[in-house]
Amino acid sequence: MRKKCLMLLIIILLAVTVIGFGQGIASAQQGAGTTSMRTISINPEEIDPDYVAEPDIKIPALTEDEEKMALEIALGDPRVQELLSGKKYEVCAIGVVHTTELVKTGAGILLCLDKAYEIEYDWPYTVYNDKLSTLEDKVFHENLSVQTLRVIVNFQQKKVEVISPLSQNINM
Amino acid sequence: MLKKTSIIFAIAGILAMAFLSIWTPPASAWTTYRLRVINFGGDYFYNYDFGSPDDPPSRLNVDWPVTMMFTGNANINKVKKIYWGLAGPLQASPMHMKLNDGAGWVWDSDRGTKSLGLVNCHLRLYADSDDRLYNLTWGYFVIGTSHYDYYELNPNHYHGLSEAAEAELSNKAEGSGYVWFVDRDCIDMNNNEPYREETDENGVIRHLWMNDRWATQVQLW
Repeated sequence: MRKKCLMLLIIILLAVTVIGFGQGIASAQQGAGTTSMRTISINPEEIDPDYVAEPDIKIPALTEDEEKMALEIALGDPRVQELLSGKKYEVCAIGVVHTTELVKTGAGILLCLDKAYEIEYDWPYTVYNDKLSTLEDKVFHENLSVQTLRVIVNFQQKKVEVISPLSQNINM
Repeated sequence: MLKKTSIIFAIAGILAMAFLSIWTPPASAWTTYRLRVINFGGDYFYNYDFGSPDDPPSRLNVDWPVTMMFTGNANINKVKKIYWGLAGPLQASPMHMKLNDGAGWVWDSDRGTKSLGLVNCHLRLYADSDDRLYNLTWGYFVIGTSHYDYYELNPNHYHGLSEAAEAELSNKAEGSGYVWFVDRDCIDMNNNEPYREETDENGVIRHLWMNDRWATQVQLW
């Protein structure tokens, strides 16, 4: 009698395990089958009681002329030319540089190289000087793996302000 | 004399640890006009995380776009084990997400998980109090934002490339034993950010935006 009860218990446990596992597979397959799932996007003000709609902010954009000018300045810079020398590259992206107050100050250009290169260089960048309350030009000496060159053009000074290496391939 | 010095060092050490455990580096706030609430199978969350848990949530106070969804049988610690474990207070500052799984809106904060090196891949994860959200469609799930941190110990540090970080995180998930499948760029988060760069309050460029609107689903066992 005790043996029968034990057998019955084992069968029930096995059944529960199999059914549970099956349900797991079924629910996961449901997920696996959907390759382009669209969520429903809702404006915050429609759903979050604490959200207060702000004035419609506008991220600044580059004009065609500004893009051309930025490319000319970037590709005309002797340091950029030196870094690109002998390498295949393409312009992957051009985008605006703006302040937190949404004032346009320049352009960023991402130059994708055909492969990763090890480059030792004095990478130029700017840093804020607390005492003088101004931006200063500095260099950062490092040997780095470079797949993409990031070049920042300052519109006011019409010069390249930053050249920095990205180790990622940023082609989206 | 030696004993006294040891005691002073011990007290200084304890004070330093106490300070580090509560200290968080100051965070800047960044800007988007694509802030939305996402309805994910009946649960709600924002499509960006925030620099501070302030109500009302603001388009002028975001950090990074949501790029990763860990579904199936996920919780925050389990997902961090796939990557680099819990990021410490010196490695990362916490950011914040507002979400609602049906019990009301709550804020969650997380330092995330982060690789080591000159360039760090950084994933922050969010859920409610039990470190996971649940609905019938997605099972137990958590939300993630991604980016790279470049040369953080140097004054020229900058951060960004959410899309490239998403790709690296997807690759790493695929090679782990915790994951059943990875479905890249399959969930619409409505947070596309064409390439642009944003300066901090001092005019130094820090925040490199680049993201398509599609998050990657990682289904965990």
